[in-house]
Amino acid sequence: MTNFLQYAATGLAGGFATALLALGVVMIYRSTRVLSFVQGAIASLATYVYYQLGTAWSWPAWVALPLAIVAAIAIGFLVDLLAMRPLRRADALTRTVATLGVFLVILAIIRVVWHGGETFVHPLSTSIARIGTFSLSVQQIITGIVAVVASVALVWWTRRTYTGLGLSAMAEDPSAARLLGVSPGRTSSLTWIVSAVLAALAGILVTPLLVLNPFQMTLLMVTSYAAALLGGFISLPLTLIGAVLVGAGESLTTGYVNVSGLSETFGFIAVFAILLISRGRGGAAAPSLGNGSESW
Amino acid sequence: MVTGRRGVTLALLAALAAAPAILSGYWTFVLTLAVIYALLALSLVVVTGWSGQLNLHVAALGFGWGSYAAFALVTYGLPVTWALVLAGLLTIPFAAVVALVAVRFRGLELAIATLAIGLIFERLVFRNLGESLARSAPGVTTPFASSFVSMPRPTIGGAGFSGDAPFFYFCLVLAVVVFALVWNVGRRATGRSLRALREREVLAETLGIPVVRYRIGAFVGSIVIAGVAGALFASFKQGIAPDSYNLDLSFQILAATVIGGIYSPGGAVIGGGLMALLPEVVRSGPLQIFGGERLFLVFGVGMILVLWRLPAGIAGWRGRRGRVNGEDGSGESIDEISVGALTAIASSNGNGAAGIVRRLYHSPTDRHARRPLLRVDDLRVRFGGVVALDGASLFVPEGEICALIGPNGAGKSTLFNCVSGLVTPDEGRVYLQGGDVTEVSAHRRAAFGIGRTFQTVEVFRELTVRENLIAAGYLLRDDDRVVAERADALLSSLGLGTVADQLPGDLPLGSLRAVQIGMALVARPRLLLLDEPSAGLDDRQTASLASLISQARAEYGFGVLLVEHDMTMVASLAEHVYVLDFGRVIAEGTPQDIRNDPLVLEKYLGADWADAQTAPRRRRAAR
Repeated sequence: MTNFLQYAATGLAGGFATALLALGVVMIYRSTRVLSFVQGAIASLATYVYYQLGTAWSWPAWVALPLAIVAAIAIGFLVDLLAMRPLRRADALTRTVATLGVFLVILAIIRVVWHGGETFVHPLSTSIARIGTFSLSVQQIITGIVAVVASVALVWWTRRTYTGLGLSAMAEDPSAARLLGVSPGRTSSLTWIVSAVLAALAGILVTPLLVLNPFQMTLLMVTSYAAALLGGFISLPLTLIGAVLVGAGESLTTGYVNVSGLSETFGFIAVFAILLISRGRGGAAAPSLGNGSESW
Repeated sequence: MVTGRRGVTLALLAALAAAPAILSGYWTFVLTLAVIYALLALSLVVVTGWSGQLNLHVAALGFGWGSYAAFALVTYGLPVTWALVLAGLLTIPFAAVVALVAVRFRGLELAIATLAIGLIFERLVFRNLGESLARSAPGVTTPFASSFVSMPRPTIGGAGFSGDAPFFYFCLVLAVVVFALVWNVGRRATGRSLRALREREVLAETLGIPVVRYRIGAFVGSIVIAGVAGALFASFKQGIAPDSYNLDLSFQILAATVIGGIYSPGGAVIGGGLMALLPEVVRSGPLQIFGGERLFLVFGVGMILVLWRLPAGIAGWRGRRGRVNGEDGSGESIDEISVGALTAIASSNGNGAAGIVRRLYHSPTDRHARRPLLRVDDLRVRFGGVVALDGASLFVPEGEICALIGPNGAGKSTLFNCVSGLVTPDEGRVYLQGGDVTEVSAHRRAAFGIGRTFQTVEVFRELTVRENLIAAGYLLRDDDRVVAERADALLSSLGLGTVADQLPGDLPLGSLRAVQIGMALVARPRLLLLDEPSAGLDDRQTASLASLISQARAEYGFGVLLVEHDMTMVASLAEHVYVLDFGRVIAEGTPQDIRNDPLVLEKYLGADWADAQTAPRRRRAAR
């Protein structure tokens, strides 16, 4: 029983990091109908920046972390400006494919600057919190707190503030939102920036528990699609819960089932299973007729 | 243009055939890889470019399977030559299973599904398979990894293909055969239908194209092609390392194919060439800074630029540019030429055509004695808590123009969708010419003789008007020339001759409605369903359209079920009218009867007309 709780709790940290990525994916999908394949790469790039400042140059975390976040803001802004804006008239699938292009570009940058080697990133804290026989690293606890705070903030932002409501309006009906004065350009750029910051937080918080290589966060991003699917690519709270469940499930599978490579692929299997169950109910539904999406 | 393309193809083939004699062994080696990558890119052209399904992890789903299939065939004693030729076919069972799953998903869901399944194969199946094969296969050294298994080059007779040049020719011949097959499929009706369903799946279905079968076929076909490439790749590398079939490769080849041109086999050749040759070209010289890993940058930026400015890629640079961006759609400006054509037809026939036919058939008492075309019995449809149809029944005899009117939300469109097969009713039956078609899918109903239009304009935007009509000719199963003749005949009888080579985006709404009717008529339907053809048209255009419809009916003899709000059009065109309210028929009769029916007046016409008459006055009064 203790083992079970321990496995589940360990998984929660991974789950919360997945949640940060998933929230970004959902935010982007909600307001631009684009499925981002680049959240993982953005997370990696921001984490490499953090690694450079905090680990390689040994700057204190309170300097390195804000600078890495600033880098993430710049990355999100540039992705929108250089890849999404020019394609604003293209359909969502085309823009989705374009995020693959961005992925290749970011991967190239990482490989050129950091030679793509695997490295380890210093955690924010190395202490361990113990309750009886049960132990959790402070890093894991921080990850959980950040994810929950981020979700609550996002829900508040999208429901209670003017800009956030504009984002939600964009999700419901882009043309109606535009007629009401919501700028699609600003919405898109804001969404990408927020999502990039979420991705950066995910990378910075979770990589100390794993390793840092160019692909690690992209695999975590695919797992995060499972959570996004559970939330129907719309609901932020359900996305958070979904990510935590997937994280715990992954950790429990690793603990109890001994098949090589299974723990690594648990997330993908979850994605596939959830797809089969939730088919057509999410935002990425079947084609419809006469929904006014055509230019005529 | 055609001779130009043939010239380029022949020149390329000649150059490739001569290459090993001219170039060094190393370049032959690189060219072999280009040929293999061209095949891999071709599989993406078929599945993504043609059928619109995004396979994001082709390296695992197809390429990798082909490698292991070839290995399995060699292990079971088949000569390597045959193993490489047949490995593609061995992937069919796997491909079929994944295709059956994939066909349930569309768009982004499909992209996620292929990504997830592909990663499961890459990270779980291939690694474990590789390790167990490496352990069990005797005499195999594993210099690189514990999961590496070796795979020989093919040999024929004593000479053998094991050298670089013979192996290059082996790959080239196989690739040319596959490309020729695919190219041949692409220019026939199959290729047209695939492109049609990529763009407008529901429309394709109502035109009689078996969408599900085609999507599965394209998926399986593409995986077989990728499988052939994978088999050659294993032999090329003289072994299989599971890590070669990673997401990196999938994204790169997708980017290279998009840059080359994802809509045509020619684009696959360019994409494959880029993929293999670009790293070699930039390895030396001034482009050196882009070498190695940095090449990703070129592919990434190139892909975004191509999506932005050149959606059909390098292969399509001479075609219509910027279409994906939709910048050339001129919206609803009135095209005087085609309106002129419509009006000319209308005035030459006067309202006579409609009038004569109506008098011929107009005899409501013996309506039910005539041969039945469509009978709808007691249809009930619920969407969640909303009852859309609540026991609707109607009858259309052969050759009649029958109208269905009713307020918004009365269930007219749902009834239409039940007849054309897009919605399956919870209860009730639909009979076409006496046969029960309630459970029959939309594309098979089209084959039974139902054609339909949509309230919003549904046409293939990337095809010209004439190509739209040809694409709608799937059910004719004639050779291309017959379909083209039929399309031309319809174009001239619909007054669209002058705009035949324009894109739909350049036409006014009235002409687009005529195009839609033309598309529905290509396959010679016995029943034509028209969903609010006059919506958005002014009076003049509506009159022209009505006369076009009645003229076409006189010429081709089909029956019509018409959903319409415009009572003038209903009165001038219909011989019989059903009034639907809250999912139920509340009245039927001649247009004259309906206008005088007190219930209808109160429920529908009265309220609407009274509103229309008094609303402006009331508004003025309020001020």
